[in-house]
Amino acid sequence: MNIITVGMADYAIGTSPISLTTLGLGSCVGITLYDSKTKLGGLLHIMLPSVDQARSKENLAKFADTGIPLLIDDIIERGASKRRLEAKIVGGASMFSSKNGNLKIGERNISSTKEVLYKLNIPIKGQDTGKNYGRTIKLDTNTGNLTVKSALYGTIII
Amino acid sequence: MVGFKLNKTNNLTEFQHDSLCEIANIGFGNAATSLSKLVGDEVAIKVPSLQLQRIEKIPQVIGGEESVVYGIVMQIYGDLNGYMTILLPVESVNSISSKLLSNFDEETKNEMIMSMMEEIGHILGGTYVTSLSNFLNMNISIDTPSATYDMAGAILDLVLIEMSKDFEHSLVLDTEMKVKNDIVEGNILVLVDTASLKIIMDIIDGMVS
Repeated sequence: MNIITVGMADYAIGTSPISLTTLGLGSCVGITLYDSKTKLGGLLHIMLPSVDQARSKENLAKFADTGIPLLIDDIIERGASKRRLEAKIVGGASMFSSKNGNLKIGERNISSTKEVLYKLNIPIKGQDTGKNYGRTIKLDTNTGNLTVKSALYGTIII
Repeated sequence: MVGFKLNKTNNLTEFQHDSLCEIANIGFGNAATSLSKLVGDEVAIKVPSLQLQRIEKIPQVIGGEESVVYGIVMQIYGDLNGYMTILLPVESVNSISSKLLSNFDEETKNEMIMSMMEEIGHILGGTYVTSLSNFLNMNISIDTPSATYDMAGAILDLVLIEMSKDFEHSLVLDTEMKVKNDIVEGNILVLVDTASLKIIMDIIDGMVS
């Protein structure tokens, strides 16, 4: 099985026929980048919107604002073209309706992710975000298709 | 006795590990007793596994991120900070509800499952922090439980996000509970931040010196 599983606050890059997956995204956001010509794909699993608010800044892949540039630089270094890169974003759920003391971290993760991608001129080609349930994603680097699977709401491809 | 500090490999010393395990056992043991009373059957708790782990590695360490379970999440706060998460497979929840909600029809039963889960969280979590408070002579509380039904990874997600804002590592206490007749089983996971861990270790050092 040519599947790389990306953990929390981590990223991976692969080319066809390798697939990239991350499991059980809740309020975290999974960001994929894809270059259709070189069939290079990248997947980043961020936990927090910005490195600025964090006391612990050791792992830059943990934050949207530092993780996304990290992924872009790395995938370009491996041969992808920046102007061909297309992003898809999934996750950022609010898992517990009653736990809103966390200032809607899922929503903040999504808005920060969108803002960073916009600033870096990477178009968002697909998204499945928000709501109140978890998602597993898998990027097929042969097609760029992103499969989004949930426990109660079925599977979609974006 | 030396005060608590992380060694180079972020491991706990054997003494630190053993004393933390003992404290965890007391808390989980009392929680099991309260669950026994609730379900009217004997509940066994496995010796907890205990480790100091990078927060983002915790889902991989625990595994089963995609398994769909009932989850109850509670924040531990006061002199110690962390989270307790209880994960129960569907079959276990069904057998608990068949005992506790036996007077209700199916429809009402389904509506009441989440409240029942929150109540279980309240009882287990409450017993756990009370026994820790007593043993360590501290004020530790637990907030209102939140329950949901989803992938285990997604349930844990919020807890790990909250902890990772300020910390790189967390103490991970993981135990399996099992009701004697095998129809109820589940996991209790307690995460304690490293600042709280230092406080606990200082207390332990004070007890033995």
